[in-house]
Amino acid sequence: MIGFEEQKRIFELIGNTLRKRVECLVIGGSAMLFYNFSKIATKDVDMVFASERERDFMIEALDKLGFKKNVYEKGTGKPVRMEFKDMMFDLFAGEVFRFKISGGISGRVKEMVEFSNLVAKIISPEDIIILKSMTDRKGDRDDASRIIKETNVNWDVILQEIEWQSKNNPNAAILFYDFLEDLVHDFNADIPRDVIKKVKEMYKGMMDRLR
Amino acid sequence: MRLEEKWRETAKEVEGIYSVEALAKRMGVGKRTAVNYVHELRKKGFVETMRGKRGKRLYKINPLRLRNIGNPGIYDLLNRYSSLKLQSGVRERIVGYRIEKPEELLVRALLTRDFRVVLSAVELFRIIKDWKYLYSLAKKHKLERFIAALYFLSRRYFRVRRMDHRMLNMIRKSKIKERYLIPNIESSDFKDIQKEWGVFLPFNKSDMDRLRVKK
Repeated sequence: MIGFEEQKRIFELIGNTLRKRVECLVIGGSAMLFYNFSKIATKDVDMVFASERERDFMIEALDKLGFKKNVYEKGTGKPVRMEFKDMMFDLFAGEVFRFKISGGISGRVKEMVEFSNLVAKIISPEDIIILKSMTDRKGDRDDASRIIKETNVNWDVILQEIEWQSKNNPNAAILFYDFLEDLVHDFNADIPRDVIKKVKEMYKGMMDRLR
Repeated sequence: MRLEEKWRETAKEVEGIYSVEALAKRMGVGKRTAVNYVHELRKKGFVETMRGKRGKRLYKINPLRLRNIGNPGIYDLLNRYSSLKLQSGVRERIVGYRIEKPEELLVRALLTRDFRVVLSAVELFRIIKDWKYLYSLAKKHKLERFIAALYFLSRRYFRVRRMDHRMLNMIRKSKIKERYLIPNIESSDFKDIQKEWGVFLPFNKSDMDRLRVKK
């Protein structure tokens, strides 16, 4: 598990090791640490780079620091996993699984932290929730319910983003609807009814299209 | 419920920007109690104080607390020095390094190639003293001619320390690598400056008038 201070130190180290200035979006639990939520540590650090080239600079820097490549599946949306002892970095390029990084996500970035050559952009809590819906892990649902509990989530933003994503990836609305259902039933999350209704409509539309 | 959670819940309930009076009304309490609430919320990091019209104190209450990390970025620093205040939805921080000198701030601002940031940075010429350092930074980023053009532009609007003539000579000898400071934006005013330095300035007279600097 990586805590905020440890994450900060490793980012500084990476920033000093990178030979070119590289910008990335910090997503998932690692982004949550920047927000002072009650979550105090994360299992892995997830980063999204604009291109494969930028990701390669990062891989090179992590390699110099002693990280080893663990999983490497070629193709967009698939992460490169770098590991060192109990630390894990998942590095994406352009997409997170089949989820595209839209202009909206980049525009809603809340903080930009410069660690020498590494510029970390912290995505908004709304986007953290959306990206958490792309996986099926219990921990991700727990994190999302924590965000919903601890801040006022702008659901309109989430709905717009899911609608946009559904145009490229029909699974987006389906996955997000399942995700919301889990949050309501298993985590007792306070999600407005009309939001669930709208996502359900999108979900039904997508299911019909898939049939 | 832990105390921290209780205050977070309060911040979540009243999220927004308020004067003390407005907050008291919103919470249905007296003005004194509202001040006490603000005091407690601030201690937990949920309140940021802002200034409204005629310097009125406003409180921005937000349950979302970004951690205090590193040193201020260029937006915060420019707002400290310039009369043209910049608003940004993104908080910028720099870890492990502090921008100490206005010369560096100016070059970093030009590198953003953002119209408002560059306009706000023009005012830094009022406090720039270390021309040698400025030249070395500008040369590194191939911005020498833009620096010279902006320097002569700023001299028309406010008092600026005289630039070292050796530096001006060196800039005159430098090659023109890039003509646009901000891609595809050129000024219809200040033709003489643009011609002399072989670069396009992005500002017109009306833009420069937005800088409320005393001559």
